Amino acid sequence: MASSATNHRPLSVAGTWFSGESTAGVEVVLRWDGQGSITLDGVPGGRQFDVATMVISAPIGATPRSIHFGGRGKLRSTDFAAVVALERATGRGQGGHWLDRMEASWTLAALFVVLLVVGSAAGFKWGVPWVANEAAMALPASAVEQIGQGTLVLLDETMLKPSKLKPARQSELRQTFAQLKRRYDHLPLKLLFRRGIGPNAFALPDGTVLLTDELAALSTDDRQLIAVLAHEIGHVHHRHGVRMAIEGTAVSIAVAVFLGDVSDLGVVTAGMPAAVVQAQFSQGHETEADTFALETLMHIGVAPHHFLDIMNKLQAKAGTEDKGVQRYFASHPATSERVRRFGKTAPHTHLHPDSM
Amino acid sequence: MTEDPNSEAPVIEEALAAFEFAPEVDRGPGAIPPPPPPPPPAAVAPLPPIAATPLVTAAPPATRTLPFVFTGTGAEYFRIWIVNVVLSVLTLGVYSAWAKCRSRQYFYGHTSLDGSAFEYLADPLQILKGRIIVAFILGLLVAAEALSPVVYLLLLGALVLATPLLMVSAFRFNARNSAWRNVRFGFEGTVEQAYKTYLNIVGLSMLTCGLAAPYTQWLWSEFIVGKHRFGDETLSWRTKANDFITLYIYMVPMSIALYVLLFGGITVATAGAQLFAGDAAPADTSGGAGAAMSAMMMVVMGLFYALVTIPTAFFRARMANLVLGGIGLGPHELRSEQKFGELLKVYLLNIVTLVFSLGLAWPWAKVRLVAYRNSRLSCLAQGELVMRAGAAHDAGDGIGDAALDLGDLDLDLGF
Ligand SMILES: [Zn+2]
Repeated sequence: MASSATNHRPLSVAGTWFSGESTAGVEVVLRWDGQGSITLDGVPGGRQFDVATMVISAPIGATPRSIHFGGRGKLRSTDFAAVVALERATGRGQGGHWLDRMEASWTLAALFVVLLVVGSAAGFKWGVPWVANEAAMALPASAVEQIGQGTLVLLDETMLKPSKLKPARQSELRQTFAQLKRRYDHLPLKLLFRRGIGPNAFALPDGTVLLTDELAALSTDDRQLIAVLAHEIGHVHHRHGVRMAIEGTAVSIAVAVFLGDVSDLGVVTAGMPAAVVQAQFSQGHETEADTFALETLMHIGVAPHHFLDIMNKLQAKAGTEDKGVQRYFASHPATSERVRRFGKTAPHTHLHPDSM
Repeated sequence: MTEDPNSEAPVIEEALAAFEFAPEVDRGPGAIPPPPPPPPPAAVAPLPPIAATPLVTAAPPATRTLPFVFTGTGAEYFRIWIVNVVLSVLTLGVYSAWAKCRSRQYFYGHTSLDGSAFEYLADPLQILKGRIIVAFILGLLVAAEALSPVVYLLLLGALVLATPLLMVSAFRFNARNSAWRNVRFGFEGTVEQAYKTYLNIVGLSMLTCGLAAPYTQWLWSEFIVGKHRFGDETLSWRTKANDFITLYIYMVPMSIALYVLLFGGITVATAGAQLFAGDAAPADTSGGAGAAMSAMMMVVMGLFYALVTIPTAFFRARMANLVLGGIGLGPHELRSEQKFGELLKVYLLNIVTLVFSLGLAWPWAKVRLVAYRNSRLSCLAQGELVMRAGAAHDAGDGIGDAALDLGDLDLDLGF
């Protein structure tokens, strides 16, 4: 081995030799003869090694470098310049210098910060919703059905109670729903009645739409319920349930990656950024479902103001709406915003006799 | 009873969290080296201080207080961190194993005792292996949660049952890959011992409805600390169960005071908002009242988080002192003297730093905390810190039964 070494200027590195037998350390000077031999100056009796067995650890910040020769002993040194010179001349480093150079550069750090900020903004604006959408659409119908049924069972066991609506009223509403359903043959839509959670309606990923007795009682016109059901069908059509799950996971992972274990640093508010981002996705879904409902209502000739009417009733029942910062945590867009969207389109659809 | 400030820890770490220094080891990029005990007696030339030349001198049994010195800086760590984050994202997470290694190597390498820095020796490929296992388990859980509640609960149950096994594996991995002066740490707790301790804890907790928390936490800490070794010497732990119980008793009035303040705050805020609304245009209820209300709520929320930080700081400072400060190795002892007020200040500064930088100043926050912990940690050495590696060192790498050698399993992403 030694014979293959080219002739170099001899080099030396000061450090502490730890035998690996105990914590006892010896101040030594490692000397390379410029060819194949390394001696440790300072170790009683002296030690000699073949340069071909030498391994020099990769650099990380200003932390000590290690040099070993395959055995238990190890030299630790903060004589950085000397270690780098030895590494260059012998080629016995473990590499990692490109990483070290990246980590040493403020220019690159600044560039990366910009990349990170722009990248995560774009990722959350377009990337995550796109991926979630693709994944949700690619999910087989049987899996979606499983998810929906599982959720329904869970809800029935915890929050929901059987409906007390008269059978006649139920079949009336089912017929109304059937009209809507005809337009969306590709969706396995099904209407169920429940009660116990206040005036509400929601859709499960498998196409099950739930309507509460309370909402049925709150409405003053069945067209208001049609509007709500159209909105829920919009959620099914866009597979929002599944997308939400995927987006939620993406958000948690991202927050974990960027902030690490924040609570360890004494910040107990780690959940807040995640909650805000999550809520933005949710608001996006609601807007999508509103658009869907609006189109549906226009097609079947129901005036959009019915949607406004029921929204207003719900609003009145729920009290004041979120203002200021709280809005960023809300799962739905502000009612005023939704009302504005429906109000704006209303004039164009005032063709039908039922619009007053 | 009192709040567990670590309650947000992920599943595998949950039990670890009981143990103040384990989280440091496992989560952070490696605060203080793992079982951060320092070393022992023998004779030799330590580094900078005494530049003695060679070997065995009859060490005078003089007692010295040796500080743990942390030399890392936020600026230096920031550049490592940003590279870690960006490369991890660009490689879809694969680089995160290397990121974790570099982060830990950075913190270990900048933490020194008696002039010698600690060393983190893990192979990133091993960490990657652990990562893949964890990702697989999490993937299964997510899929099961969506598809079938029954399968999800079964899986969760299996994971709970496997917790002691996973933890022993992680302790072994971390200890084996931590060294000081070329002598490695080790963890010799067996899987059976872990299960026994775990069962005792679960049983006691159920029997007492959780009231035994201080005692069970102590049991677990004792298991973890007492099974660590440095070189061929096992760590000792002076902390008694009573010390834990006393700390929890202190937490009771603190928690009560906190809740009183909090509910008082909400009441006052609500009343204030209504007053405000009365003054504002009475016609526009949703405007005046709504805005005043939400402003007040934000203030209350902010106050709440600031308030929660107070008992958290108190608890963690005391806990660190009890856990770390009770460690002994042969004739040498560790001292941890974190002060409630000082730690609180670090926490509050970190909150401000993180909020105003939108999280980008994370490295400075991390370094501030690690530097503080180290500044309050020292070793009371009897003579020179000389310890033998012993036969255990050789066995250390091989002993971990293949089945247990799962690599590094903790969820910490390494930033
Ligand atoms: Zn909706």
